[in-house]
Amino acid sequence: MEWQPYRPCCHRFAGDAEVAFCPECGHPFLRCMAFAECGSLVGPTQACPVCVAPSLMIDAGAVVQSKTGERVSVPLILRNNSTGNRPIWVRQIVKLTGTVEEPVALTWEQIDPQTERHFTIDTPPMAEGGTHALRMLFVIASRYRGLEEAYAYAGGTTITVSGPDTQQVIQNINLAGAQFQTGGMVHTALNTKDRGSSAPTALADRAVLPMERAERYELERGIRGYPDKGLRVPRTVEFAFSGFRAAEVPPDGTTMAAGGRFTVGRNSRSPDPGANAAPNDICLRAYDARTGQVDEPATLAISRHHFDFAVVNDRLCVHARTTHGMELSGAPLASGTLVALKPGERLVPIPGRPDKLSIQVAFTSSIGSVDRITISRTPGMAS
Amino acid sequence: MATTHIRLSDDALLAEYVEIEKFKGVVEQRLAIGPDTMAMLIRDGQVAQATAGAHLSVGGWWRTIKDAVAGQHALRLLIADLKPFQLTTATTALTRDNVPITCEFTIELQVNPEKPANMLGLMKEHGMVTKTSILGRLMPHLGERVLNSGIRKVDALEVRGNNPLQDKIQADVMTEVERIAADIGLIARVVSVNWAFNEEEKAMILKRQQEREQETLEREYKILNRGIEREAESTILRLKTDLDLEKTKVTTEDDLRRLILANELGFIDARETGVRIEQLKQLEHELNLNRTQRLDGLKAQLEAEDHKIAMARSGGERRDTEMDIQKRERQHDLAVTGIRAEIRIVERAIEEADKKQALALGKLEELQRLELAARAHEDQIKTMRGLQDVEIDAESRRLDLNIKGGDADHRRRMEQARLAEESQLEKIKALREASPETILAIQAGFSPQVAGVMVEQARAKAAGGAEQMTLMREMIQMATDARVSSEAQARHLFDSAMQGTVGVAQGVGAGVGAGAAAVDGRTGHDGARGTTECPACHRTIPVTDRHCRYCGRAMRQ
Repeated sequence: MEWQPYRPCCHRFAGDAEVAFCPECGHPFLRCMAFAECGSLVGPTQACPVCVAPSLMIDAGAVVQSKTGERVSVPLILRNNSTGNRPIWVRQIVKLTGTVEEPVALTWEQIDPQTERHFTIDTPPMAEGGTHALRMLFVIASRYRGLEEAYAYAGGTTITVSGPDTQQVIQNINLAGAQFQTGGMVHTALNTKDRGSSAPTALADRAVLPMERAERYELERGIRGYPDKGLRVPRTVEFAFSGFRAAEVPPDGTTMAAGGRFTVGRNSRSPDPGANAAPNDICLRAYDARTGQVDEPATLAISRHHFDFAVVNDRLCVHARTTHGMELSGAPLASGTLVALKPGERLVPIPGRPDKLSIQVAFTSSIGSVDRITISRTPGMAS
Repeated sequence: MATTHIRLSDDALLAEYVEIEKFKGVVEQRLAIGPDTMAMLIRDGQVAQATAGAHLSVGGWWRTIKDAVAGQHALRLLIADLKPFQLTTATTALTRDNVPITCEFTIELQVNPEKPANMLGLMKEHGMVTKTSILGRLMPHLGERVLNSGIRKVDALEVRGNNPLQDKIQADVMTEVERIAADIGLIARVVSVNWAFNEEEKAMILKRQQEREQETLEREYKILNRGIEREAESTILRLKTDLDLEKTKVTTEDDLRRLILANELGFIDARETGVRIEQLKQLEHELNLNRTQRLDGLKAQLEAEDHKIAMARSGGERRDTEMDIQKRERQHDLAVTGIRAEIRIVERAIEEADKKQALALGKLEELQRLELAARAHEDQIKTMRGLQDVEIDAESRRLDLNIKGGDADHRRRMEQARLAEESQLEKIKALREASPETILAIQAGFSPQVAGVMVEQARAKAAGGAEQMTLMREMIQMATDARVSSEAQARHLFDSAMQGTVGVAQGVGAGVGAGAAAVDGRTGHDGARGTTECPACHRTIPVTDRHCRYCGRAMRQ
């Protein structure tokens, strides 16, 4: 389904965290992971406009003009314009020289809201005159309760390089009434036209430089998405389930609309204030393959809230919650660990017992975007 | 024929003459000189040949006859050691502040095989040249021309560790040695200088120097002694071959016996004379040795006293120097303290300027921040205003649509009411002549209230309620008796009749409605609370929701 922008009615109802769809227009709500602080809705792959609001400025006094052979040092300011009291973390600043990336050494990392940080970009000697582009890439992250969403932004400015001094000296020789050989007086005057001073001028005031999202860079550098497959998982990705009983999973085509994650564990999906105060989105239970009855010892090894599926950094991730341990493709996952899942990887909720229960994910993609994620459990159970 | 190897009679010798005459005889003698020895043959006062190594033939009957007929050549053979040799000596010089500094020179020399004739400048007429005797020619020049001229210009403290000066003096020594050695047929190969600045080093150098001198004296004594022995042996018997042969031919046996006796006496005398001369030379050598040792002792005592005096003087000068240094250090400390105070003043001025600048910058930054915040606030207000405008526009559009819809609905209802009224009027007109039962029966088909009247009537009949039936009959009779002459009269009659029946029917209808609601509970429509249940997710949602807020299902169009 084509993504449509939010309507004014959506913002009226989005404040209630339980509401997953706009009651008026039926638009699904995608909330920022820090919705409790920023209260902002996001798009399928966009950054939260409140949490991640960087602004690049060139500082007053900067010189963006030079002559050939000179180096230029440009003072810059990175400002956090977040209005939601959300800091940002600058993971990397890269200076692009042609196709070469040169990381800028930074001594700071965090920018608090409505504050700014200064840094300097040095250029190599400008070999040729003309206008040179000074391009930079910023990898900026927003963090909230163990989750981190990173985004890359591109920004830059231009530097005007004047060519070599082409001032021409014209010498006029006047022979006043005598031939040169006879020792007549020669008057010479240098005809040097002053073309004005070409000294570079500094900026009187700071100026805002445009920044734009660098999605391709994010994908190529593995900041977001799956760079080896060129795939991104949007927040609106649909889920399908295989091998589960119907009451254990949401219907196929469900998205992570309301909470931005699927909670998975032993608790059932049915809310019950007395018996099941924390229902899961996906119920995990082990069954006896022969009788189809619940295998209680194995099921008790699964925590009530065992792990979460979440879409973080355009990747499907598993967020381990259990303290009993679980395995991902044979490697143990400690509680609190957030790991990106690749297609075909196998999750074993009960360590060392893949025969009891294992979960595998598969992607269905089209043109760089994952449309559907199928979560299969083994051994499969009939509906 | 055997060959006799000729070599220098002692390792300490550098060169010596070989008495070639003693090899001459009727039988030819062959002499060999090794390749590490230079042989210079001087014939008739001229250098005939000079080579490294040689093989000579001396004497023989043919040469004897030739010498007898044509006369003898004057031959001399000079041999010299071609191997490099090392000489070490020490000397003392005074610095500018009159501190004695001892230097130990180590010089490596070699006889120049390219210019052998220059060796003659070294040789004494009948003597030999020792290697150590070369030092006698070198040292006056080194001590005065090189060492004194270099050291006298600087103080003692400036010499120690002053590598450039020490290297320069060493190079000067090398140059001077090369100059002197070249004139006497020698090549200077290496020169090194060892410096002694303190008493211990000086004592070590002096000790080594005395040991070398002692060794030289003993070696020279041995050489001299061996020369004396050789001289004595050579004088034991020298036959005057030609004369004795002639005498033998012409004298009788007695004369010959006398001659032998005379020769024996002469031989004995000569031997005794040689022994006495040797004893005299030994005595003279011992006397010289004792004298030298005594002189050395006295000289050593004198040097020790001089050394003490020099040490005392040096100590005083050192103390003066130390006091001068302390004085200069104090002055330097005072100067440094003054400079630091000035630096502190400058630093304070800079700090004050920095603080002022920081305050100004902070003020500017604050103003800038406030300006940015104001701009951001304005942007926010604009954005919010825009959003509000959008919402207001949408709301107004929705209100317009609602109003328009309401108007249309109102008009439709009004039209429907009008049409209903007209149809009712037409019905009344049509029923003007009909009986009450017929009217009721017809009305029952259109109105549930009339049907209720009919039901109530039936109940009343069944219950035998005479009053109710009477009332009903009166009501019907009133409607029947009334002559409906106009539309207003018909409407009044209808309303009057309906008020009564509706009052009954409402009570009946309410009871029927409550019963029906109790029977049909599946709609879940809670009119009081305004909620309903989503058929997809079975969660309770407000009835006003167009979509389920939990699963997104469309609830109504």
